[in-house]
Amino acid sequence: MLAALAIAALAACNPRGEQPGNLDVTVVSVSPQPAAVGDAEITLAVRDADGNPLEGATLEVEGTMTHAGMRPVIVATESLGAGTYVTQGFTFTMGGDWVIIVRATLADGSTAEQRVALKGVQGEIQMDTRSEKAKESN
Amino acid sequence: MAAARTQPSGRRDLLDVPVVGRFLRWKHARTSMQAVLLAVSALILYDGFWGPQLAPKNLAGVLPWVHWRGFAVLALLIAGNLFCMACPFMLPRRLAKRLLPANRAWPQFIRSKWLAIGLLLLFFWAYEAYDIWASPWLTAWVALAYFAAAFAIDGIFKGAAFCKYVCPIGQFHFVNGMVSPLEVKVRQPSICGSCPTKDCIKGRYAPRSQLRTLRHSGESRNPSSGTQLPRAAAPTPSQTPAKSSTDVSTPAGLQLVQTGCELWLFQERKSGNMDCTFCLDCIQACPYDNVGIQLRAPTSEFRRLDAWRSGVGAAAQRTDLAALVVVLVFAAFVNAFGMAPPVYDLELWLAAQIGVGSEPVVLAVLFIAGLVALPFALVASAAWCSRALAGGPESVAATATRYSYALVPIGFGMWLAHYGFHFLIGALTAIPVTQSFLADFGIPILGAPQWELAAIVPDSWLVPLELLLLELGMLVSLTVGYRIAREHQRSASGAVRALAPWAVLIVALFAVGAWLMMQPMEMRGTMLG
Repeated sequence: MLAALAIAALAACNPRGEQPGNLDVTVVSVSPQPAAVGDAEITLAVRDADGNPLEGATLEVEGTMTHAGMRPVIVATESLGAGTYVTQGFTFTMGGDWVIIVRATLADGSTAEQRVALKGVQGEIQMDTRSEKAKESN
Repeated sequence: MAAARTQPSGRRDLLDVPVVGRFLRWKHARTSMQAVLLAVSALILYDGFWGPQLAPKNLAGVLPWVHWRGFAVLALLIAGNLFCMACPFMLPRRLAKRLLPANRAWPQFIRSKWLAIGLLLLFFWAYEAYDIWASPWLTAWVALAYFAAAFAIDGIFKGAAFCKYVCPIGQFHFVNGMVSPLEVKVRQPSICGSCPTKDCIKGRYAPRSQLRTLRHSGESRNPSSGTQLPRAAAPTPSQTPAKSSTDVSTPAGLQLVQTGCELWLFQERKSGNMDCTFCLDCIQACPYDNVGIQLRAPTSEFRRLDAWRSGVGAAAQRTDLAALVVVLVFAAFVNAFGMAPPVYDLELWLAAQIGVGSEPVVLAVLFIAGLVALPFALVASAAWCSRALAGGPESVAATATRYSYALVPIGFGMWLAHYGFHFLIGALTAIPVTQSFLADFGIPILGAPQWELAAIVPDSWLVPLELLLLELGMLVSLTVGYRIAREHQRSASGAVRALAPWAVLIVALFAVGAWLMMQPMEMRGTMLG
């Protein structure tokens, strides 16, 4: 009974709820393509709440998986200008469905966060198979 | 009469371990453990329903699927059924026993494991079909459904019907607990033989007048809570009404102060861990302190499968129990297969073959094939070959039932390898999620979330560890299989012939498991549509 009351009280204040994203993030490209286990470069187009390209921000990108318990990949980004950023030293550590979390520290010191799904990152076997097929076709 | 400590049986007993034993003897030991897990469950429910809907960032994504599963299999490996001992679903269930009549007998036609088998199949399918592992919201619903089911079922029916006949988690623990090194067991059988009251099954009663006196003197606890009187004040066995073990109504003038085993396992004739929730009620109830938590060989439960066991019957004749074993063994492999890349190709191929684009339907076909049709075919084939090679009067079905128990260790090895993998690579993820949880409530006492925390062992250890667990499972399965065969066959050569097909099946399961372990794990949601 007490537990139910505690849950109801927590739910009433609900600071853990999904916050509306105040950034608009689009994955422009993932290299190599298709996304697969190994080193990768993710290029992101980021717009602010007004729809303007996000300039002058410091972006951190966290790649995590839809299954709990995996070590996330957290890297910095380099700005290419016009609201476009590219990850530095990102690695897909496992095949499957990934979620890219973008955390921005804006020029005025405020922070913002947004997530974007990146499904179907291919595992090692598919990569090997692809390589073999590529060799065969050559 | 004060309880006299029974002489040790010669086996190591957890109750004799200084700190642990003292804690487990404490009348509130189980309740305190349940309260901790209930609090954790409340956090899981809250975060699952209202927290961020990304499993790695949510307590409902991390704690059940990484930590609870890992702790559960490790506990089964090194101790026993510790989850059922601390099961949080039991606290609301106790409330139900007070609020609701709880006086109906569990229907005769479902006094078996078939209902639980159906629920297990349903859960394993839903887990993959709806990606419950990736959905904190669905995980919270599953947990809530457990609380509701335990409350409703045990509020209506006598005893622990939910645990014995319904709970899929309980069945997982009962089956895999067959290879656990600890067992709740009588210390000195001769004492049970002379016990006139059998409190371990019937419970302990005290006259209401005596309870009132003790309550006023401040010596007793609330008897209606199911706890017992202090041993010095406990009623003598002669004060416990001698009734049949199925009659649990309270006699006039007496009040129940300690329940006996609610899963109907009579200690004097109990053997093994099947259906035992490690609730310790028998330990608390025994006026002679004659029940312990004793060390045993992991293969001991598979001896004398023809012998009648209290609350279980003859395992060698329990088709439902054998079916439960087989489903759980094959589920260990199918569950791990769900994370290996070839399953996605198989899903796509099957969808094309049957012309269905719905993933739940395709997965239903796969699960029926992998958990029902294939196991039935393999076990029936092994039984037929075993009978053909070694002869004997037993039918193929009886042979299949008897030898199915030999598969428990290899199945447990696979569960250990799989859940152990998740635990080892993600044990520390609970830290940043908890940090994040507290920070969101404005109490960042643990600091900023350290999302980089995850594994507790280097990645290079994982495959060797998984293979080791699987190999141990295979070896114990082969040992158990030989023992079953040796008990049933007149000669050693006959036992080897009878075992041969089962040995092939066990080694084949090991090979499949090893192949799965060598696959690069993937974590995907929908593949179709």
